Amino acid sequence: MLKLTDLRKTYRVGDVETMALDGVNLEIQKGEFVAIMGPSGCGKSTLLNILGMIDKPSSGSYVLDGVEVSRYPEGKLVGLRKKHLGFVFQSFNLIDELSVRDNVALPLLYCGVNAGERKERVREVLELVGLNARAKHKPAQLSGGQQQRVAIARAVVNDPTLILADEPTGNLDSKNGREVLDMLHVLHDHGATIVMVTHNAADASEAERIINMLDGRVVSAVAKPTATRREEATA
Amino acid sequence: MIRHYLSSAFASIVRTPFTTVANILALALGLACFLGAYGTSVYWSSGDAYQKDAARTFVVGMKIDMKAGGPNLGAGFGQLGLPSTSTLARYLRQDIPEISNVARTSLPVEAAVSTGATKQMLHAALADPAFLDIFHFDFVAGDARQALSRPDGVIFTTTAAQRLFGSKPALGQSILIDNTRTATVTGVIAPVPQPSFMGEGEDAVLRFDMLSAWAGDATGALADRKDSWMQFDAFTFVVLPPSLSTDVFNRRLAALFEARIPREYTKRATMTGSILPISGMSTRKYDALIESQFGASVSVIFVLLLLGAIALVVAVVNYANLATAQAVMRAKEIGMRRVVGARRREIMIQSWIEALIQSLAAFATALGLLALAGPAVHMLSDVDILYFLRSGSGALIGAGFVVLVVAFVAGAYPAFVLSRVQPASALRSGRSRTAARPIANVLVVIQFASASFLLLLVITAQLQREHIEAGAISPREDPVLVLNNLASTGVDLNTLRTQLSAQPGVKNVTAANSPPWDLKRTKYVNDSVQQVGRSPDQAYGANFSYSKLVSLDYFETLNMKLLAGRKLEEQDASPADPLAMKDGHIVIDALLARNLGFETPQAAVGQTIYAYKAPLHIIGVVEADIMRINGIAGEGAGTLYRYFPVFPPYMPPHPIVRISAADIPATLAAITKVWDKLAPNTPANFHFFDQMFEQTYRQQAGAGQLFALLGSTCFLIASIGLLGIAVHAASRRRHEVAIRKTLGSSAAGVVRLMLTDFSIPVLIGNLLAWPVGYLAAQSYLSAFAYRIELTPAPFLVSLIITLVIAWAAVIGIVLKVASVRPAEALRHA
Repeated sequence: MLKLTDLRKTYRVGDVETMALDGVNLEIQKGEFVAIMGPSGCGKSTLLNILGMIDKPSSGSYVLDGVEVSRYPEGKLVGLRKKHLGFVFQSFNLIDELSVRDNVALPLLYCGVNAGERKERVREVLELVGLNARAKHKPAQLSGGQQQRVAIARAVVNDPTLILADEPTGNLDSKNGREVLDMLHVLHDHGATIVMVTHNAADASEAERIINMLDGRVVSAVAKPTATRREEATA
Repeated sequence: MIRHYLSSAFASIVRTPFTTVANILALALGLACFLGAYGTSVYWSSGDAYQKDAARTFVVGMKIDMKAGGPNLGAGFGQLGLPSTSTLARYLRQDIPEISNVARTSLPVEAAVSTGATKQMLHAALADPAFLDIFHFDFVAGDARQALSRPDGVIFTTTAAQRLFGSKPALGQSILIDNTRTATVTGVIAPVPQPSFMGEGEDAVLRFDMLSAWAGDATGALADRKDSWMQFDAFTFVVLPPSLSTDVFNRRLAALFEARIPREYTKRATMTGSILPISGMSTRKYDALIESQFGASVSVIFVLLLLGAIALVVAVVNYANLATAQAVMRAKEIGMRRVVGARRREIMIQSWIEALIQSLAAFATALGLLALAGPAVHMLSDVDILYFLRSGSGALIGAGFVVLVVAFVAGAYPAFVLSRVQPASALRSGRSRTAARPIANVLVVIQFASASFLLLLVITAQLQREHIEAGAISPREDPVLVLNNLASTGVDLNTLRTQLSAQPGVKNVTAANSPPWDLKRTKYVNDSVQQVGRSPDQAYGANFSYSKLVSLDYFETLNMKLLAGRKLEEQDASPADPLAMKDGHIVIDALLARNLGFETPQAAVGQTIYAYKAPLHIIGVVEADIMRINGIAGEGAGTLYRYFPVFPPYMPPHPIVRISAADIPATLAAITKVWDKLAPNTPANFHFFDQMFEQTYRQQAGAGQLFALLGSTCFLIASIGLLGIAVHAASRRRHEVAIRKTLGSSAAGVVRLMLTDFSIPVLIGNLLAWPVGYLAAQSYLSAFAYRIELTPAPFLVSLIITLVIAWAAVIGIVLKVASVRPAEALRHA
C-alpha cells in the first residue's frame, strides 16, 4: 500500500541541523497492522506525520497506492488526506467547542458530504464506538477513554484505508487503553491498514509487525504470527 | 458549511470573551470615529438638497490676490463662506443672460430691531426678491412672491417674530431697524429645514433671524449705484439652466472679470471667480480654515474622513494584532481541522466570518455610541451625525460597505496566519510557529505611532492656546467690556464716554473701529489693512499692517505697555476721513517696528513711514498687539494706531470699557442704564474681552477638541490592544518567567523586563510619529499670527504620556505574571 525509500527529514533551528529521519526504507501492505517503537526522539512521530502527509520529507520517496506523493503540493495532499487517512492522537485533539457529533462530522463536512448523509454516517460510527448516547455532549464532559473513542470515530467516519495512531493509549489507564486497542482490532478486522506509534511493548505486541527505530533509522522489523498475537491479547 | 462556520465562530467568540470584548470595543470606537466623520460628511453634503433646483444652484465667489506679495484676501474671507462683491450680480445678469436666476444676500450682521418698547439684536441679511424664487421657505404668514418686492419688506423667522412680538401676529407690523429705517413685516417663515447653509444656528453660513429687502436698505441701495470690485459684501447665487454647464459658466465668468473689472483694480490685485454648489456652502468656511491653517486646498470632509480613518485603521490593526495573538493559542484546533481535511481557503473563510460577526457587533455598538454622543455633537456643531441613517439607501449601503471592508481587512492577517498553521508542529506543541512576534510588535508600533501623532497635535494646540491666553488675556487683570458699535445708534461717542466715566466701577473708556479678536466679523475689515514702507516707494511693498482707528486711552484701557516714545494725545488727532491721507501721528506696535526694520522700539520713535505714499510719523511704540487669532494681513503683521476724535461713518467706533473686578454686576447694570438712556432703540449687546476671545477661538478650539477626541480614542484602542497582547504574552511567558525566577530573578526584575519589552514598540511608535507630527504641528501653528516656538517639550510630554498609558494598560498583567510560582508553572508547562 505504501512504500518509503531512503526517506530523510531534517529540521534546522538557527545553525543547528537535526536529522529526524535518516534514510528510512519501509513498506506496509494493505490491511497490515504495524507498530512503530523506539525511544523518545527516535523519529517515530515524524515518520507518522509524513505517512499522514501533514509533514513533508526533506528527501526520499513516499509512494502511496502506487503514486509518488512526497512532492505533491499542499492542495493535493489535503485531498489525499480526506480520502485515504484517519488520525488518532495521544491527546485526542478534539475541538472543545464542538459537540461529540460535530467533532466526528468534521471530516465529512470538509469533504462536502451533505447534511443527511453526514448525520447518518456519524450515527453509524458513534454506534460502533458505543457513544451514540453522548452525541450532544462536549468533549470536556467525557472521560479520557470516551474522548479517545470519539477521536477514533472521527478517524474512521470517512472510511479511510489507512489509520495512523500516535500513542493512542498514552493518556489512558489500562482499562480504557484496552478498549481503544480492541477498537483498533475491530477496524483492522474490517480491512483497515493501521500504523500505530507506541512506547508500550505490550501494545506493540498486538500488531502484526513491530518496527523498531533508533536515531531516525529503522533498526529492525519483527513480524508475529496472528495466532500468537491473539493469545497474548486475551491472556 | 456556512452553519458550521457560524457555529465555530460563535464558539470561538464564547471561548475567549476577553479578547472578543476587547476586539469589539476597539473596533466599535474606531468605527464610531469613522462613522461620525462619515455621518458629518453626509449631513453636510446633503445640505439644501430639498430645494427644487438644488443640483443647479450655485454660489459664485471671488478671490483677490494682492500683487507685490500681499495677502490672499479670498482665503481670509473664505471663512465667511464664499463671498463676492455685490456688484457681480448686476454683470452676471447682463453678460450671461441665459442664467436662469441670480440673487444676492448681504453677509449677515447683527442689527438692532425695535418695535414699541421691545428691542432685540437680530442676525440680519439683505436679500434680493429673486432670492425667494431660488430658495423655498415655509411661509407661516405672508406671501413668498411679494415678501421682498416691497423696499420696506422684511421676513422674520417664527422664533424672531416671537421674540419681538410675543403672541401677537407679526405680519404687517412696523419695526425700526438700526435706529435708521422703518420696515414692515411681510412674511414669517418656519425654521429652515436642516441640513442647510442657512438658518438661525451659530454655525450657519447665512445666519439670519430676519431678511430684509436689498433695495430698501441704504447700504444696499448705495452698493447698487456704484461698481466696487475690491470688497466682499454679498453672497451671489445663480441657477444655471441645464444647457449651461459649470465649465462653460466658469469660462464665461472669467471673461466677465476680464471685461468688467477696471484697471485701477487689476493693477493692484488679481481677481478670479469660482462657483460652488450650495451643498458645499456649509463646509466652505471649514475648507477655508484648513487652507489658512495648513496651507492646503483640501476639503474639511476629506480631513474629517482621514482622521476618522486613522482611528479606524488603529482599531483594525488592533483587531488584527489581537486576533493573531489569539490565533497562536488556537493553533492546535486549526491543526486538527487541517488534519481532517480543511483547506487553507476554508480556514481563512472561517477566520473572516469571525471577523465579520465581530465587526457587525462593533457596528451596532458604534451606532449606540454615536446615538449617545449625537445630542452633544448637535449642541456643539449643529451636525446630526446619524443623519445618514435617514438620508436614503445610498449612505446606508456606504456604511455597510465600510463594515464589510473592515471585516475583510481586519480579518486578513489572522486569516493568513491561521491558514499557514502547520498541522504537525501545531499538534505537537499546541502552538503555531507561523505567528511571528515581530509582526505583532509592528502592529503595536503602528497603533502607538498614530496615537502619538494625534497626541502631539493635541499638546501643540493646547500650548498654543495657553500662549495666546498668557499673552493676551492674563495681563488684563480688570474685566474689559466691548459695547455695540455706535453705527446707527444715534449715540455720540464723547457723550457716552463722559457718562460712562462717571459711573462707579468704570476705570477707562476708549473706542476702536475694530474690537479685539473680532477682525473677521466686521464688514469694514477691508479698510483695516494697509501697505506700509519706510519710504514712499516701499509703501506698496510687502509690508502689510493692520490699521486701527482708536480713541484716547486705548492703550491704558487694554493695558498695553508703552515701550518707547509717548502715547496718542489730543494733538495727534487725525482728520475725520482717514482715506484723506495727510501727515499724521501714529503709534505702532513692536511687531510693526520689527517688520519695518527698526532694531529697537526706541529707534522707531521720531521716524516717518508711508502708507499709500502718505507720510505718518511714529510718536510711540507699544508692546505687540496679539489680540487676534489669525488675520488676513499675513503672518506676524504689526499694527499701527491713529487717534480719531470723530470716527468716520463707515468705520463706526466700538466703545471699550475697562471696569473694576470688584462689583461687576452693579457696574454692568450702571453701564446698561447709561446705554439704554442714550440708545433707546438699540438693545445693549455687550461682550467681555475673554468671551470674544472664546468666540473667535471657537473653530481653532473645535479642531483641538477633535484632535483630543480622536487622540484619546486611538490611545484607548491602542491600550486595549496592548492589554490584549499582554494577556497573550503573559500566558506564553509563564514558563520563561518561572525559569528566570528559579535561576534567581526577583519579581521586580521580571516586572522591569516585561515593562521594557512592552515599552520598545511604544517608543518606536513615538519616534516614528515625531517627524510627521512635527510637520503637522508646524502647519497648525503657521496659521496663528502669534505662536509658540515648537520645542522638544511637546514631544517629550507625548512620549511620557504614551509610556504611562501603555504601562497602566499592562501593569496588572505584568504583576500577575511576575508573581507566578515557579514550581507550579514548570509543572504545567
